[in-house]
Amino acid sequence: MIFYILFGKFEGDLIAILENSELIKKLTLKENIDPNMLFGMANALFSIGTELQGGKLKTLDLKNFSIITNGDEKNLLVLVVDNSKKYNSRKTILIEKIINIFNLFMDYHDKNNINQESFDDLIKSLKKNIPTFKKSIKHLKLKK
Amino acid sequence: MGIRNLIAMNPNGLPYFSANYICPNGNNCDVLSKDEMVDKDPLLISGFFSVLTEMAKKSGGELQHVTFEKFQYLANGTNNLIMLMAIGINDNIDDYKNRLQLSIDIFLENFGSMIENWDGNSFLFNMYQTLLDDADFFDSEPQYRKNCIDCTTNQDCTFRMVTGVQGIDFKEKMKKFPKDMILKRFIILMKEMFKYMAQIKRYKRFKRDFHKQKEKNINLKIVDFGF
Repeated sequence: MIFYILFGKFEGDLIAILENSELIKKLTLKENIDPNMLFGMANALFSIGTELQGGKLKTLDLKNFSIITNGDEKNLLVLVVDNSKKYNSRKTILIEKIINIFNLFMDYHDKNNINQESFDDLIKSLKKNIPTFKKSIKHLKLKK
Repeated sequence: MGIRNLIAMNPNGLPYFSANYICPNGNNCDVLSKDEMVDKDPLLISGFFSVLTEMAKKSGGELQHVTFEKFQYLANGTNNLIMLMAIGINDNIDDYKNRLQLSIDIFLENFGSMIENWDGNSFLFNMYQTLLDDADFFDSEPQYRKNCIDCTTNQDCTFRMVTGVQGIDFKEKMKKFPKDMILKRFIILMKEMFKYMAQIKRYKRFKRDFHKQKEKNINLKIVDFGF
């Protein structure tokens, strides 16, 4: 159910794009989903949340998918997930676990940078932290 | 916590109507845009959502729901109208989706023809608040303040619309009675049903009367009512 995991800095490019290309192809959404645009949108929303006196952005539901975010002052993590009703409970788990996932990405970014070498370790840690999503995580490939 | 903001805007981000239902002590939250938050927010919020809606269209379809740490926005609309509703973070979204749809229906029924060639004059839509009130959009369950004069601190005014059996208050009421108290549960169910039907009836009556008056006086402008 996870289309993308995007990690990057507010001021700067995306550091890591983890993509489930098979799932995107299956749902024929590839043309519609641009990870850079999604990250930009989440980035803008995250920042403007303060202006709206609403705090940080947590989720954004579009017709075809949902975005779940977490970040600190400099970094932002965006999960792009299927928002079909059958995945509602799984989506709730991801919302609860987003802080852990964010911390994992921060650890890997700080220690190793997120590259192909450290990617396998990151995937292992993700599977350990969110075992419900083992299958989804298995299909994620590092695009950047 | 209930509805905090309601904004009707065009797809370019200009608000037709905006209202805030949170108020600092003493402010009348039934009057449009009178408090500090709304003074600066509607254009910012509607402009921002306009951009967001466009981005959403390009990257995945309609915008439906945004959750921030402190509150959440529901969005829906048609070609010429986007309705935004801000509600509390713990409010049940499904409960408010119906109200959002009702707010859209009321807006389009009364102003649908005006928004096609809108010249930017938001005064035309001031009557909308009265239409919402008359449709019992904000009703007296569980606690209703027509204005915030009773507020002693900077607290939310609790506006609630009774939505019959699907209302959260109804669920709360039902919880008070054990499942075996069938009679009491049945009475509550009937009361809520009647309340809901009465609400629909009041709204229909208001709509009928309004259209009758409009037929008698063709030049009657909707903004002349109450403002």
